[in-house]
This record gives sequence, C-alpha cells and structure tokens, in this order.
Amino acid sequence: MNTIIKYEHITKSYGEHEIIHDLELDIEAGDFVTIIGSSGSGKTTVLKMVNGLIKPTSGHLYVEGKDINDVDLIDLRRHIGYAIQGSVLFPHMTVEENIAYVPSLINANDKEKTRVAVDRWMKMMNLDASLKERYPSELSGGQQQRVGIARALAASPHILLMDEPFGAVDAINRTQLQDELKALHKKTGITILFVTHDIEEAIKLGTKVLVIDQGRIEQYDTPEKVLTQPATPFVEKLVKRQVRCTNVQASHCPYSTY
Amino acid sequence: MIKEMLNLLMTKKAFFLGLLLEHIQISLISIIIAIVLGGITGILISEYKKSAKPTLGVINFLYTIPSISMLGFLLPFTGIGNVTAIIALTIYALLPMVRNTYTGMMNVDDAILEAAKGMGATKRQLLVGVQIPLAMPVILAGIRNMATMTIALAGIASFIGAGGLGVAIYRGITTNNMAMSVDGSLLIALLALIVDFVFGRIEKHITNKSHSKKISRITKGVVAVIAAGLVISAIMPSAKKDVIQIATKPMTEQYIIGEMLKQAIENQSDLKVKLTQGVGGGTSNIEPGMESGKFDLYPEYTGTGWNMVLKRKDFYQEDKFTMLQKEYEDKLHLTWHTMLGFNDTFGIALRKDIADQYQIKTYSDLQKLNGQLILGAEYDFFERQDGYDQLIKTYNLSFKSTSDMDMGLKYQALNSGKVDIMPVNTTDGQLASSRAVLLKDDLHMYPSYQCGLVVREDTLKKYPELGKVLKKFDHILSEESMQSMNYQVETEKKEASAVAKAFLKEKQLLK
Repeated sequence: MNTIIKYEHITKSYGEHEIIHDLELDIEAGDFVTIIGSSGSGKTTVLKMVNGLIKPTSGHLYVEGKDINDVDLIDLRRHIGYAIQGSVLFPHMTVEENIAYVPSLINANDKEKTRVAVDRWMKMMNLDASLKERYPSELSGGQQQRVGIARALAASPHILLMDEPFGAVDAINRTQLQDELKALHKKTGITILFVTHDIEEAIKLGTKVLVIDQGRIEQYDTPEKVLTQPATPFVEKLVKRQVRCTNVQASHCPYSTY
Repeated sequence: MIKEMLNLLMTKKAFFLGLLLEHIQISLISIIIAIVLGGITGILISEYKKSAKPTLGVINFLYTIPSISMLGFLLPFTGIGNVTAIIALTIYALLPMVRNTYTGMMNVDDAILEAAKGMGATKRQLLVGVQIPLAMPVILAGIRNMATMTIALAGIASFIGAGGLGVAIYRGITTNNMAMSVDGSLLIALLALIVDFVFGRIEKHITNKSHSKKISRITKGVVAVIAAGLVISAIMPSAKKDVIQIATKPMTEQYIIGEMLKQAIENQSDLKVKLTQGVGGGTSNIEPGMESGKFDLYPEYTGTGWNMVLKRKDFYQEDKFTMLQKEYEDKLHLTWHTMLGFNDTFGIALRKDIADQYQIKTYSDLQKLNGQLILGAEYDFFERQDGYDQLIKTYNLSFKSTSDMDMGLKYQALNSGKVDIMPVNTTDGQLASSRAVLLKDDLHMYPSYQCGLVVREDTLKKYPELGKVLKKFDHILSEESMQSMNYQVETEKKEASAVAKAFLKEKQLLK
C-alpha cells in the first residue's frame, strides 16, 4: 500500500483549547476519504492541515513522503486541489478564467496548455463550452459547483481537498453531483479528502470514512465496517441516524429499516 | 444678471479657460496623488490590521481641520502657490480614499480569499488578482466622491495665491464684480458635475463585468496621458528665467497697479512678468514669499509694513520712513524702491456743498458745525478703537445724529442728502463720482499708509533695468487718480488691465 498523506502525532490547540488531540493517520493513495463529525469536531482542521492553511501545534504531516514544513507551501497548494462550500468562484472572472486560475499561476506563459486543461475539465464536469465566457453570477447553483470542482482539478493534482462542497446545493442537484464526483474518482484515481456533516453522504461517497469527535479519531474504516461494526458508542449513535443504507446491502445493515 | 454673466464669459473667454485648465491641473494632480497614496495606505492597513485604527484616526483628524487653517498652517513650510494648494487638497482627499479602499478590501468575502490562498496564490497574486479587483467598486465610489470634493475645494486655492477658478471668485468679490464670482462658481460646479458623470460611467462599466477589461485599459491609457501632460506642464513654467514675479493683494487698486507694472516692465525692458493677483491674506502671505524669493516685488503700504511686517506697536507717520526703510534693508533685504504717491488710509468725506459753503478743508474745521451734521457709518466704525470715539475726542467734535448703515449704501445716502458726513477709505472708487470732498486729517489721527513698491534687493542687482522702469512710477498716482481708476473697475466694470493701459498711455509710460 502507498501512503500519500501521513499525520504523525498531530495536535492543534488555540491557547488552552485543544482542537486536535494526537492524531495518527495514514491515508492511502487513491482513497476517497469522507471525514464526518459534528461541528467543532475538528474535521475541517484535519483537512486544512494538508495544504498548510492551518499549521499543527505539534507533530509532523507528510504529503507524498515530504514533511510539509520542508516544502514551499505555495507550490504544495498549487498541486493540491481545493474546493470549499458555497459559491466561492471569483465573481470578477469568467468561467474560463476561474478554471484556468491555478494553471495560470503555475505556468503563466503556456496559454495553450491552460486552454487544453480548461476544455478537458469542463467536459469532465459536464459543463457546456458555451459557458466559458459567462460570469459566476450568470450560472445556476449546480453549474457553479461544477465550475468549482473543475477549478480545483484543473492543474491535475494528486490530491483533492473538499470542504462540504455540496452544502448549499438543493437535493436533486446534490445527488447528481455526488454521482458525478464518485464517477470522477473512479476514472482518475485521485485521492480525495471530503469533509461533510451528512452521514448519508459520507457513507455513499467514501471508500473510507473517518469519524472524528472532539479532536479524536473515533473510527477510520470502510463504510461497511462503520455501519456494521461501529467502534465506539459515538459512531453507533451517528450511524443510527442513517436509517437508509444506500451504499451497502440492506442485509449488512443492522440499523436498516428494510 | 444672467446676461451680464454670459457677456463676461464670452469677452473673457481666454481668462476663464486659463483658470479652468489651471483648476483641472491642480485638482487632478491632487486627485492622482491621493489615489496612489490613499490607495496604498488603504491596502496596507487592510493587510496590517493593527495599524488601521491609528492611521484612520490621524487621517480623520486632518480631515476635521478647517481648510483655511490648513492652508495657513502649511504656508510657512511650503509658501504661497500651487504646491501648498496641492498638498492641502491631497490631505483632504486622503480620507475618503483611504477609508473606501480599506472598507472595500475588508468587505471582500473571506471564503473567496481562502479559496485563492488554498489554491496556491502568493500574497501578491491574492492582492492584485483577487482582493483589489473585488474591492474595486467600493474604491471607485470613493474616488468619485473624492474627485468632486477636491474640485470644489480647489476653489479656495486662490486664497493662497494658487491658480484655478477660485481666482475668478475671489477677484469678483474684491473688485465688486458679482458676475465674475458667479461665473467662477458655476464653472467649478459644472466641472465637478462632469467629473462625477465621467467617474459614474467608469464605475458602471467596471461593475458591468463583461466590458470591464477593454474599458479599464482605455481609461488607464487616457488617465495616464492626461496626468503626464499635466505634470509636465506644471513643471515647465518654473524652468523659464528672467521672469519678475509680482504679487498683489486682493484689492481693486492693487489689481490695477499690478497690471500697470506688468505692462510697463514688459514694454520697456526684455523682462517678463508673472503676476500673482489678489493673494488672499495680503501682506501676511505675500511678505514671506518676498523673503524666500518666490516674489520679487509687490505694492505695499508704509503703515502696514511698520505694524505688520516689522511688528512695531506704535503709530506710523511718514517721519518714520527712514527707520522703516533702514530696517527693511538691514533685516529683510527688501527695499521701498518707489513711492507711488497716494495714501490709502481712513478718511472723512463731507458733502461738497457743505464744504464749499462753510470753507471746511480739515477735520479741525468741522468744529464750526458742531451739533449740526448727520454722520453715517457702517457698524464697525462705532465699535472700532480708532473709530468714532477717537474722532470725537481728538478733534473735539459733536454731531446732530449718527446712523448705522451698510457700506454699500453709504454713498447713496450721502448723495441723496440723508447724511452729511461719513468715514471712508481715501481711495474708494465711489468717492470719485459722489458729491463729497475728503477732509484733511490735520492732527494726524490716522496712521499713514503711503503706497510704495517693495522690491527684493537681489532682484534689483540682477536686473538693473527693472529699477529704471520702476523709477518712472515715482509719485505718478494720487488719491484722486486712484479713486477714479477704482471707480472705473468697480462701478463701470472696466477691465483692470484696460484701465491700467489707458493710464500708462496718458503718462506716456508705454512705448
């Protein structure tokens, strides 16, 4: 197995307040890890440490074998996709300029390469080429999320960080986007870290589910195991709410209403 | 009135156009400096948030200083003229600029900034590519506000000898030419409205994103060209040499004398003259400029020189002229080069028919008519220390009655016989046309204010030909001729330059 992200004795505290307690975690390349926990559990912190937006108080974090303290953060971030909740597209840029943002930061001179990347990812995210010249305010909510994902992937990163990307999307669009993201993961083999507070989404999308509470790992396992063998009372309580097990055989799901 | 204003605009097209260009120049330079300086400050304090509060506090404080005191405060450091005006205007323009830039920058959605940061934007890329463009609508609104405010405020620049349309307003006020003041004010308002409209369009285009790129590039180009042109033209004139800098105070007679000097000097020598007419604050602002070499000569009054420049507390009479001259030369390296021959002081005017009938020529003669005359004066005269009370006491006079009246109505009252006697200025233009005679202050109750040309000694050494021309002005004027010329400008609305020219021709001072 090939570890792509390694958390080693990571803690994070703000003054007296401890957010993350001695986190030990290896993430395998190619996994789709959904991170779930209630708000304030530290799940977003775990995500933002990967691209250095939040610095650990102690411990070491390795991305593709390198301690991120030893690498150029700007360069690191350009090679990690990043998509966050809501419409955080740049409102003053067209769809094309938004998607081209990271490629143009990396390589301002090779415009052809950037153009090819934009076309490729727009196609991959089912965005019509005619939308290129539009501004974000002229797009639907679903289209905006697709552009956001295309933007995060435009530089073909190995890792994609997503912080509740579908949090503000209506139910129909959300299901569709989830399916597309799942398909995209299969097709590209990219490693995805996906923060959500929706257990249903976590189970549906993840190849691994990371349950966090009060800065500690409650369980890190496949969705099936999380559902069938909850490691702690917290996880048990969490999955109890998951009345419909969409991702596994109903028979494997002890809490299923089926 | 409207017809008068239009006439004036048409006949003095070049004058107003010159002032308009100067006004645009002064305001635009201030606006550009404020945009750059205020923009950078606004961006810096939005980056280093701890400095925001103190910085805004200081700028807020500067903003609350009344503009007149700001100019007065700057004068000792930067002297009279455009530089001081531009500094003051820039200081006032800073607050709206800094505040709007700061607000604009702070209002950019944090999530968007984090997204850009998370995708690997450097601090610079974040600022230039994301934060500033997103703050732009608010910044532009600030610029628009600031620009119109600066144009309006530039109207006071003439107060300290800078150019611009304020010159027309100020000259209109001091020479009793309402149409000129109103024309100047309207042009300022018009300019402000046009600039507001133009910025409004730019703002609209930038918010209307699909056109933003093209427009902003064109705008940038145009602004850059205009700015470069203005800066160059601002620097150019100072490179010229052999120019005599003449300043005048905001008084009708000084405008006329200024024109006389310019025409005579340029006619009779190869020197050029730059006139800075009607400097606000008069002596207190011109005199430091004389010492620093900004001005070479100006018409001054002996009494003013004694009390205001030399700061003597005692009463000036012409027997002290040698002392005045010596102190000017020793301390200030300025000299009273030529006396023009008239005394602009306080005087008493009596109806001509009464003066003739009773043979009254001096103040003392008035005792003959004690208790019989009606005195009319502005309120000020009854309050002033050297006013009514002193007159009564010094000459032992009494009047039948006194009445308060507005300065503008005084002459009317005298001409119609409602009052018999009144305090005046000895060079009042209206004296020339009214049925009044000036009486002689035989006990020297009022200080003497003989008008003379104060000149820098350096300038006289450098340009001996200047001295020769100026000497021809020796006692060329009298109270009567000054009254008559003031009358032509103030009441008959003739041009100061035309009146000056006619006088020089009559005295054969133009070749």
